Amino acid sequence: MKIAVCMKQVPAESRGLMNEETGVIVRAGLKPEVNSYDLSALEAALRIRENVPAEIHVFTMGPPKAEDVIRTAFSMGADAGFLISDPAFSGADVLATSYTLYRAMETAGEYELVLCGRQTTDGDTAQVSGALAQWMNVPHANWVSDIENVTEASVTVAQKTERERVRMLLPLPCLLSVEREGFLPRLPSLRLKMTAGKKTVVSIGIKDLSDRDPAHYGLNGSATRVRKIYPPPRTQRNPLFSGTADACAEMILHEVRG
Amino acid sequence: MNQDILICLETGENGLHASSLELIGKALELAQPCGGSLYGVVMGGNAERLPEDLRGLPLQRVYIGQTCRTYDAQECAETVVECVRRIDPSVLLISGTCFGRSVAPRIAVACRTGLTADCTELERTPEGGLIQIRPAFGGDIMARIVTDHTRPQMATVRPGVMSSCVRQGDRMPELCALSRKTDGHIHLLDVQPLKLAAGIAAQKVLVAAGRGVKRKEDLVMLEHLAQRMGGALACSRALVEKGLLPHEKQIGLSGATVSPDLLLTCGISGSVQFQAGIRRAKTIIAINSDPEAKIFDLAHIPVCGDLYEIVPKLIERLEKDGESVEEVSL
Repeated sequence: MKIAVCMKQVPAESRGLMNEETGVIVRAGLKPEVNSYDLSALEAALRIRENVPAEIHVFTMGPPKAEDVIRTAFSMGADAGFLISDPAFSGADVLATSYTLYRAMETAGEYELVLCGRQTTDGDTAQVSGALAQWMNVPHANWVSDIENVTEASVTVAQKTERERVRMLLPLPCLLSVEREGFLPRLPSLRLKMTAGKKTVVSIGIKDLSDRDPAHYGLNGSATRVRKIYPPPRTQRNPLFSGTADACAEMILHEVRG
Repeated sequence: MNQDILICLETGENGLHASSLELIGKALELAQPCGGSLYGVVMGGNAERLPEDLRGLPLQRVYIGQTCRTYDAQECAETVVECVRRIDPSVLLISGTCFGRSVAPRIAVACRTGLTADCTELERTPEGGLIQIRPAFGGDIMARIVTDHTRPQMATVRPGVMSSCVRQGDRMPELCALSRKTDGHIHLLDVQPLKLAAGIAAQKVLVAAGRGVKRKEDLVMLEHLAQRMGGALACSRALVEKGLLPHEKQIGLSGATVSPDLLLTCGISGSVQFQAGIRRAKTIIAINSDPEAKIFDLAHIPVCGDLYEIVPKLIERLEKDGESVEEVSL
């Protein structure tokens, strides 16, 4: 079977700061890294491949340096990697991002299973997985804590919601968004790291897609638009207490003992 | 073009979810600048008690997808899309619950429209535009987001972020049954309730660790403090990202909303996305060595100091007291 894994490169330090004078986001010194949740998605794919014959294809959408994500994926055992990169793709919201992923994956073939991480550390919203499933017109499940069984036709999973653990069977093709706790990622292997450099990363740009209309991608293809960014308003606060550690402890205990 | 608002409602054994009441409350406010009616759509649920659960709510009509199975996001999304086709609302609000976050993006793609998830504030213009406000770039920057050309304007809101709607009067919204058009493809095998007693959302006393807590070993000290105080340990997103604590311990916009009687934060700066999770906390004591820390805006008792000096003293004193402060029953 063919498994697609979506992985994103994000800033390592998840706090962006804004220069209040210039209104520019300061990202200096923020080394990019693989979104940690997506490592679990790859781990889930690798575990499936331990049990059933499968090819694991990793897709990442981002600027050229996002290729590092693919290299990391190779060093963990991915079979093929695709870098979805084009100036036309940048500035995309959930709608345009998921559409880009959909069209890009289409160029590489048909996938029985698509795996995503729960969310990104820079966006947090956990929406792209469901959006992608809708474009692909396949069933999907979020919050997957366990993949129990994979056959040629179906996958059995356990999902954890606020109050329940739900076990269900999804037919293939389908999309799953997995939780980190169920799929702690393995470390890259030295042997695979050494061969990773030799593997080819396939580049996908807008000209490779079946829909080449730039109005459908990136900022232009987004339905939402950031109208304004600003530092969060500071509110009036209670008087700040500072003093010796003893004094602080005493003061806190006074409140705690109530 | 109407200015109506459609709200995705959720029900459970205890009736309508609190998060649904919060959305309705917000929708009432959002209808003020431009008018428009409020509608609801609910999937599954207990057919017998549902009408009573809806009494007194300011909804014109509620669509009920009785046979829809909540674990199948594809099926549920299609039901909501059918509602959207019938009402053509200006705004569609969904709770940022596990269910809501599975279904919302599918609806957004089906309608080719914009969706902003986890809004901390919502505003409406007199022209009916929905201003979707949320922290961006990790949390120290706010963004005001709009959906210019497409409808409905979709937003999800986490439970506990907005205040509830108060029921008024006796009026029952019109009820309209929706049957599902096609079958979903997911087969349910079984459902088991999770033991929630240990969850941080249920705790009355919480000690929350943040970025200022440097090492995993230090968490032992804070866990100890939490126990001495009769509560549990929680954390901000930073520690979950570092892998020091699991996601269930996370307070914030992408974690849990908590409502303890007492929250003691240690080394938490208080980003907007963290603050969104503690709006319901009764008393907040914050320890941070940075006098400018944003958490101090919200803390009832802001303490500027070194947690590594203060916490051991707290533990020492609590142990000397020989008591746990208020054994809290869960």
